[in-house]
Amino acid sequence: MSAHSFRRHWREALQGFWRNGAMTVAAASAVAVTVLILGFLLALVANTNHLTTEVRGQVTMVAYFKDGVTTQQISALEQQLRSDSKVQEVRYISKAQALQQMKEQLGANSSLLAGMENRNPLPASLQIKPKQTEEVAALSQMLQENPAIEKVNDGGQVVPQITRVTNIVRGVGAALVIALALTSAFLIANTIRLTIYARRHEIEIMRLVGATNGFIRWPFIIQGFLLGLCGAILPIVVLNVGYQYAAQRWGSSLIFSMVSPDALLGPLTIVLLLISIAVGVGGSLTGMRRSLRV
Amino acid sequence: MIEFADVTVRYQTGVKALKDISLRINLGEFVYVVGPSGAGKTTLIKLIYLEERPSSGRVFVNNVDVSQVPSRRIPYLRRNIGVVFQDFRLLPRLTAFENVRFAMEAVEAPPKLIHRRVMEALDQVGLAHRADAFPEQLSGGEQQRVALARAIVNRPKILVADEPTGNLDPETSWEIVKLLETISVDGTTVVMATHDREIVNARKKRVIELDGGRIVRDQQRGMYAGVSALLP
Ligand SMILES: Nc1ncnc2c1ncn2[C@@H]1O[C@H](COP(=O)(O)OP(=O)(O)O)[C@@H](O)[C@H]1O
Ligand SMILES: [Mg+2]
Repeated sequence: MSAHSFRRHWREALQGFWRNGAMTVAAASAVAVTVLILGFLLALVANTNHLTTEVRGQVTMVAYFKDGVTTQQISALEQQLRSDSKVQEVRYISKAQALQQMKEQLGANSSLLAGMENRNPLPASLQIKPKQTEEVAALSQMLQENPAIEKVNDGGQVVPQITRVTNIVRGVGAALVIALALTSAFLIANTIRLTIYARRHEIEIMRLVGATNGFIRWPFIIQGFLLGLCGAILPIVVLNVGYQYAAQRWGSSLIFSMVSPDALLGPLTIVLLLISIAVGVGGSLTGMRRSLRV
Repeated sequence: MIEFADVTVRYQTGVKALKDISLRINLGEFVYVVGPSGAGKTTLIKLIYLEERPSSGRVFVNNVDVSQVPSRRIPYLRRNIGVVFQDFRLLPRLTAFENVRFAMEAVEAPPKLIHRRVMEALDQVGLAHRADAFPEQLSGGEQQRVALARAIVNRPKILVADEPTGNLDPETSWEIVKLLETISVDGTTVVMATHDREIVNARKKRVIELDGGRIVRDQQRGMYAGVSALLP
């Protein structure tokens, strides 16, 4: 394409963009709403994923020994767990160490435990980090069957709950975003149809004198591109500023940390731009399909 | 060169607009296509500028069998054909100059050529001095001359005109017809559909007469109605 034609296509596209004021605003706003919601959901999902991996890394099971178990029994179980492929890490906590840990936790109030060294009520235990959270149930079962074990604390069921919530957010979000994207594409298609209608005489003359389909279509493709792009700018700015603010305000004070803005916002912005441009160009192609006879 | 071989055009409604038409029009020839309304004149013109395709038979335009040609090549073939209509079809928001330039820009002509060629074409139809006028500021005859300039600015080998004088008074019609003849003298093939008796009878050019989709007469230096019809 010559530089001359390139400039001409952009000029025509911009004219089409400004002339259908109301439709342009409607179509760009639909893109804006779509991008805002999609961006919000993507940030949310990125953070729940982050949370899940963080919690997964933290799950620790504790198996408490019965009072009076022998050291052989303890080391036998420890050996068995170390060679188990489901286990990441095993640490033995003796009765004395357990008491020491409790003292540290109590800090200033540790005098409550004074004199307990001789009649230590705390059991010895094994702290076990499973490789995968999914292994927790199986390990727990196996430990409970061991005669030396009094009680197993399996670290709770936080992860499956988070996963369930994330999956719901993903499912509902995906459906919502797809519906919004289709609405946007539909509005863009209609805007393009209106522009084509307003230009039908020009298009007729172009065909008559031998303009190619590509030449006739370029301005409308550019117009769709511009509609997508313009719709995307405002919500992308809002998401960037909003996320930076949220990360600064709450990022480190929550029980978990948020994905850092530097890691999230770059890729998020690119993904949102690409999607809105795809919606714009896709809508434009749909709009041309029936109105511009090939 | 234009050649029709056993051409039939049947519209989707079932109407046969042309029936077994065969004809040949040579380079630089000037031909009137006449006949009553509904005879098939417009359909014949549309076949030449590739707006319609034959239902059967073959149409050759500039030695290309256009009945077979794939759609994506049609734009390029159209660049060798200029078209003029009864209703001018100028773009109202563009000046005379811009209307003519539009045809060159649409085929991505080299920008350097455009200004000179547009002025030449306007000069050829005698409207160089009205280049900046908008269509509504021009008379019907002047508008048709701008349309003519637009049709020839890309220097087509063939010029077709579908009742180009249909909206014009007799005097203005003469001017348009004379311009078309000048263009054909320069080597362009001109095909003009009309039912203006006076013009056809006065100019003594080849006349192809259609009726009900068939050629009923094809005569060099012809009259609008056959000689027999003129006898008492
Ligand atoms: N697009 C069309 N669809 C169906 N019938 C048509 C179409 N165009 C023309 N016709 C019919 O074909 C016949 C010839 O029409 P046309 O070529 O326009 O004749 P003319 O130009 O001589 O008046 C007429 O009966 C007309 O009604
Ligand atoms: Mg007609």
